[in-house]
Amino acid sequence: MKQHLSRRGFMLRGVLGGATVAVGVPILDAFLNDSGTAYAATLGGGHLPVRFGTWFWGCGMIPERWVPQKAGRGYDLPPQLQPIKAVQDQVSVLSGFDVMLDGKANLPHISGNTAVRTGEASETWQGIKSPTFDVLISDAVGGGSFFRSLDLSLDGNPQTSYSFRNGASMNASIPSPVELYQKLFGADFHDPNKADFQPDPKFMVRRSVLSAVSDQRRTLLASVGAADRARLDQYFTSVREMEDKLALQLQKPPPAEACIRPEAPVPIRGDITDLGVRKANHKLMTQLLGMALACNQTRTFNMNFDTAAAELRRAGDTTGYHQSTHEELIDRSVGYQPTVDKFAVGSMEAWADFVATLASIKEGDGTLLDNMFVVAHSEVSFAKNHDVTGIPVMLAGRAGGKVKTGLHVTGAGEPISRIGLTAQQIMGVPIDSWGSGAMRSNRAVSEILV
Amino acid sequence: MSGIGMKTAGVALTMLASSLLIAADAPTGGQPGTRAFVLNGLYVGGGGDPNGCPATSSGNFDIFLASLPADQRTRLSDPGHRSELQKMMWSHYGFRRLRLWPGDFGGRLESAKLPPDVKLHQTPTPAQVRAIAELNGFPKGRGSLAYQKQTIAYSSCTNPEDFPMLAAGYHPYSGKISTGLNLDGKDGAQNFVSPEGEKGVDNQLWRAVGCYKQFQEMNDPALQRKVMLSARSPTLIEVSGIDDIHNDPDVTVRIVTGADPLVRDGAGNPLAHASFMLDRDPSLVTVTHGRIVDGVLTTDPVDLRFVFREQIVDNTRAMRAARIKATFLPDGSLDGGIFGYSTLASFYDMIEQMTQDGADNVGMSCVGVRQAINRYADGYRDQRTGRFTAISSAMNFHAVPAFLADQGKAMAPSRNVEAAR
Amino acid sequence: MSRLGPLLVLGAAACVAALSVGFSSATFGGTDTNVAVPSVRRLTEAQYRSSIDDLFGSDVEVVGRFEPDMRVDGLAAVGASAVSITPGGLEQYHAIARHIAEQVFDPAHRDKLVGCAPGPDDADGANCAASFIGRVGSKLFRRPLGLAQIRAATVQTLASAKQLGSFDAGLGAMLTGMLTSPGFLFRVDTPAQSGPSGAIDAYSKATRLSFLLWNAPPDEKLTTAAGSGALDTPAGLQAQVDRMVASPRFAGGVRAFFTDFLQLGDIDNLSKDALIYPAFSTSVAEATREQTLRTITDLLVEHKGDYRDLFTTHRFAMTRALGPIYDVPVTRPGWSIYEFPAGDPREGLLTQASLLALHSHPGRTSPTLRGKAIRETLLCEKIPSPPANVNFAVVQDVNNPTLKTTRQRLEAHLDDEECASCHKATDGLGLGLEKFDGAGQFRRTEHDMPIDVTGKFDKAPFDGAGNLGRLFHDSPKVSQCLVKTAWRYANGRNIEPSDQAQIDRLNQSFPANGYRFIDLMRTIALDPAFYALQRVSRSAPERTARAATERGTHS
Repeated sequence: MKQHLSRRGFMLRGVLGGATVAVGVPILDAFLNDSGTAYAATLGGGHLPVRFGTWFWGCGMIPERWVPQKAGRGYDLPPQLQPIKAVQDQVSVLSGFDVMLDGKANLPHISGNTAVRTGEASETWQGIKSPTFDVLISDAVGGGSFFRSLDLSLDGNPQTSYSFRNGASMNASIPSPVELYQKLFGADFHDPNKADFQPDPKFMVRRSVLSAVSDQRRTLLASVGAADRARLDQYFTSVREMEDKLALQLQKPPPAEACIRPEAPVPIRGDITDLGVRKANHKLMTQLLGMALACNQTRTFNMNFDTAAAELRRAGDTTGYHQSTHEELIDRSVGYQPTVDKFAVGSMEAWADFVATLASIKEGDGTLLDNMFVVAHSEVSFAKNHDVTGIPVMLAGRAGGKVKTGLHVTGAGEPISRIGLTAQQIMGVPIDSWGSGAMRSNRAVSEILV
Repeated sequence: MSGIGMKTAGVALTMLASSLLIAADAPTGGQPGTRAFVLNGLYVGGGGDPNGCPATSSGNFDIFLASLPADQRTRLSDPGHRSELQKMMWSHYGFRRLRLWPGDFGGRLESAKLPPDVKLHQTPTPAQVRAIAELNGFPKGRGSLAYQKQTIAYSSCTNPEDFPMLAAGYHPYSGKISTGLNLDGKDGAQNFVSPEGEKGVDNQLWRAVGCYKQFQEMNDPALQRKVMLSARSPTLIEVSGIDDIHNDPDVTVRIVTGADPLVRDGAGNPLAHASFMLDRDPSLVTVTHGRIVDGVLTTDPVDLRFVFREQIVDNTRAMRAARIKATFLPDGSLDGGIFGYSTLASFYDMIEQMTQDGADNVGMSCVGVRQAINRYADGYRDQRTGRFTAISSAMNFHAVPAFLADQGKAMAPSRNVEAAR
Repeated sequence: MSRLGPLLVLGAAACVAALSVGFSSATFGGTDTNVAVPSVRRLTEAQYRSSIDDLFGSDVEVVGRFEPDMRVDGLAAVGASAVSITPGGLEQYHAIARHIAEQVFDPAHRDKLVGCAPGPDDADGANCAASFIGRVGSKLFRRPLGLAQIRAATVQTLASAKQLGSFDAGLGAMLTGMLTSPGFLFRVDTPAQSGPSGAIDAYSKATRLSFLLWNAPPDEKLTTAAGSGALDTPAGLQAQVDRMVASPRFAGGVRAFFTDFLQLGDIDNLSKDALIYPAFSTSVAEATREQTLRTITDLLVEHKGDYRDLFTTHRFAMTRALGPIYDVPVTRPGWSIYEFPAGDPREGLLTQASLLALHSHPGRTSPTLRGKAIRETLLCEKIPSPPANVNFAVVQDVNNPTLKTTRQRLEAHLDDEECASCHKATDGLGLGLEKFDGAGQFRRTEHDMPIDVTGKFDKAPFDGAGNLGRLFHDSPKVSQCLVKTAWRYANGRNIEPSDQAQIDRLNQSFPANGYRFIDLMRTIALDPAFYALQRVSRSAPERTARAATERGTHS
């Protein structure tokens, strides 16, 4: 232990030549006891770092079959929520929180989503006025880990992402488990639990070359117009982040008890728009994500099970999920659209799988999920008429003890921006209100707070 | 305005001229009046009577096992002892198989000693084959090329006449029903009734081989639709001069071999509407007349050759007086059969090419088949020997739409030629 | 629908900083009320690749995932002026760059691409490094490097070499850095030092010209013409434009334009249900894109043809893989031109599988998607947003289960006035293409019902895609949309009022030149306005990137 500390101490001073590491220092193992819980001593309260994530699924649900009747603890599980039975204690359901359009048009599958993510409805993603709340959170907590955030899509398309810094700057998703594996556990992976560590000079060199690039910032920004200055500044911010990441690679990562380098995944074959294939792909990605979190490679993530206006289908069917929501007739014998119902249930099964997988990784005195806070949501409630009231939201994880789980909270028409506000506050973003116009709110969802 | 007009007209004229130089290609759907199809395989067809076989005809292993003492029989019947059984059987009957060239077969086969005049990887001449056989101690006058001419072999498949005992446990198909056509216009004891009730069906080939397991298995229309055989050299049928796809008294039918492989589509079926170049061998092109009645195509008899190239087998089949009977289905495909007299030589060539090892593994006896087709042959009596040289048969197929490279070419019917072998 | 206001903002804090910096610093030229700003455009993936191809040859692989291009009003070329590079994106560029550097210094390529090494008269390799940096840097940054720049980079290279214990590793790290630097990844105009103010310098001109006509960085000849001052003269510019339009590389530039214009890049993500469309596969999808591009270059480049004829042509590029989709015999090897006879359903761009399959669902057609694509892309029209109070609850009459054809299904949607406002514009055109299924295959019936492909375009009736193509041929909207799009593509931005004069000039000359696409490109390339810095009013918050492209879909 002592030896590590002194070696790391040498790293911090000597190799980085006195320049401070610009963002948060990784956890030094000296601060941790054997079960990784004694973070508290120097850094004040709490346990292992809380990781934040979003989980998105498209085309909502059928309200009569999803919204529980009972509020509070021990809520009932209507048919579309049956899949979460095994993990119900760890999942809170938030119903009745609305998107207020403030007189704007309801662009199908867009307005609702932009409102949930940015606190204000917009007709296009390119027109959003603020970053999505996951970006605000990762800005606050993402430094000090290898990746500021991990954006993941399950449909093979890197453009499936609802994480934006601004309308022109979408965080593209990693669209395949193989690519995710390469990024997380490929050539540049340092096993945090390995005893020996040698800083590789190539990272030093890369860092100094990039810092020479950074030096061009002032001159370049002076030579362009106002609008482009912001764009180029964003580029230079990205360069600085990369420099910081390279700096991290020069230090031995702190041990992470649950971290085990997994085997390279075998890609899932088959039609990726098929629900079954999608779920298999999702399971694989979730396992990799779980291990990435356990290895502290990131503190925030965005997982997209499918796109808004879900393109999910069953192989061989001419009509997919989205079309069914609009065109499938209600089956009079049961009173709802059967195909739509199946897909909604399938989405909930995937969510339950997600929660269970993260809960299966032990960490500290409990599980990885205990040290996480995940917000799952869709872009509409009832997809058939693009209803943006009562957009379904579910939460998972105890946020290191800051959050109660297993509750049904009814919003009674309150703005859904309260959820984004709550998430940011739990993750330590210093704000007291969030959202615009009718969706501006300063009230967190206190029912879930400890 | 006129200046602009002239300019555009000038450009338009140039384009028109250049387009006139190239005649238009075929319209969507291909030349009208022509429909071509690629066959996903040709399968020996027959049967339909569940009481047709008292038992499955015995394969080589069955026959050999029966000859063993009981305890050995029990032990060697276990599939785990298959290779031991085979070794024993081969040794018992004196089957031989040696590889000609080093490196082949991954060292699993013994190498043949070769006389000095045999050049590496050059197929030995018949004289050289005899020399190699002698050099390696084959029985006098025995030893043939086998396994795509990569080995020299002596077995019950190369020389069935030497192994009459391996015809034990053979059963001919004795059911009443079989697919096929009435080829000779007569109806007698040796004829079948078709599943649709037509009398006088000639299908002695099925009588001969119809109780062997592998022929029974492949005689399943559902399986035939799924499995592609000879995909690297598919057979194609082109029907031209069609005025009415339901009823047309006179159409021309061309049967050819494709030079492009048949490939699968995304659903695992043969890809439809693909284009095929033709195999250049003129003996693989056959033209005949036909007619369509109520959506069923039938053709005049013609001598026909087609290939069966599948795994290690490269067989050219000759069928005499072959005729097609097939139905145009609503989904655009063609379903039916080619009926005629398969020459014994060309049919047995396919069997022999399967090799002793192949026959062992599929439960077939080359000897049983050889004897049976000799016995049941019913066509084209050889003037000199007095024996029949061909056997009535039915080859089933399912075919999907395709295009031939020289679509629409005018062609004259083939003249019937003597059987190739 | 009101125009959306200024849209290029960052998160709150950064936004304030940008504005204050913008207003306080001086820019160059311009009066009190307007300033001339250079354009800043991020390289697209295709441009990155052509840059590496030109510099290092086609056998150096460019492997990795590029930050997705963003479309603004349908064009990635305009989006290039709006995007930056995210941290994830930069990481990708860095990884791609490292892989390129590895190959440049590997034994198979080193001699040809580097050609020098430390030796007896260059012990530490400083001369070799300097010459490599100067040569490669000037090509990457698309202008010669200054001596000070080269010197500083050489010093850094030698320091890296020392740290890594290898000259090649040090120079490779420098190359990686150059490939990641903004001078390469962004095309930033430099104002001319002399001559009329408001113009860009010769190297910037060369860059603009080269990416417009070839979608590639300037070649040796063009760079020389820039350096000598020839490019700043009308005759010199004309000579280069003529040379580049006559070159075989011009077809590549035309392909790049139409790939962007017709959004053919989306074919990369196209998938179809294998059971419903078994003849469609990834390689078939790519072939449909190649087909459209070759059809276009055959008509517009090889035959120097009339753009409008794209909508009526019977000459389709064809290859074996597409035979099953088009249901025609294809026996010529590789690619050839297939000529459908008069009267055949295949005529014109609207009957090509690329567009038909791209704007359909995995298992069925979508007249709405097709109609929307046609309106937005080929007619430069905006599909209006649904009004704020649209009642989606009445989307379908649940009491009518017998809707067999797509037309019948969609007409049920048109019963509601509010839905019809969008759908009338799109579905009416899309339904005219219904005889081509979701994979672009021709069909006469749908569930055994004959398909009705009649409709109206701008009050003129049509019956089927060929008819509609002929109406497009004759419609000034179509040709004017091309002019607008070509201008936006060339300039990397949307049209401002001050640009209207140039657009009007182009709308006169395009028909006057027989609607020849070559001439349109030439005219744009020769117009001095193409080399002017954009003027923005200082009081307007920012140059806008009017965004209208939705990312969600509504069938």
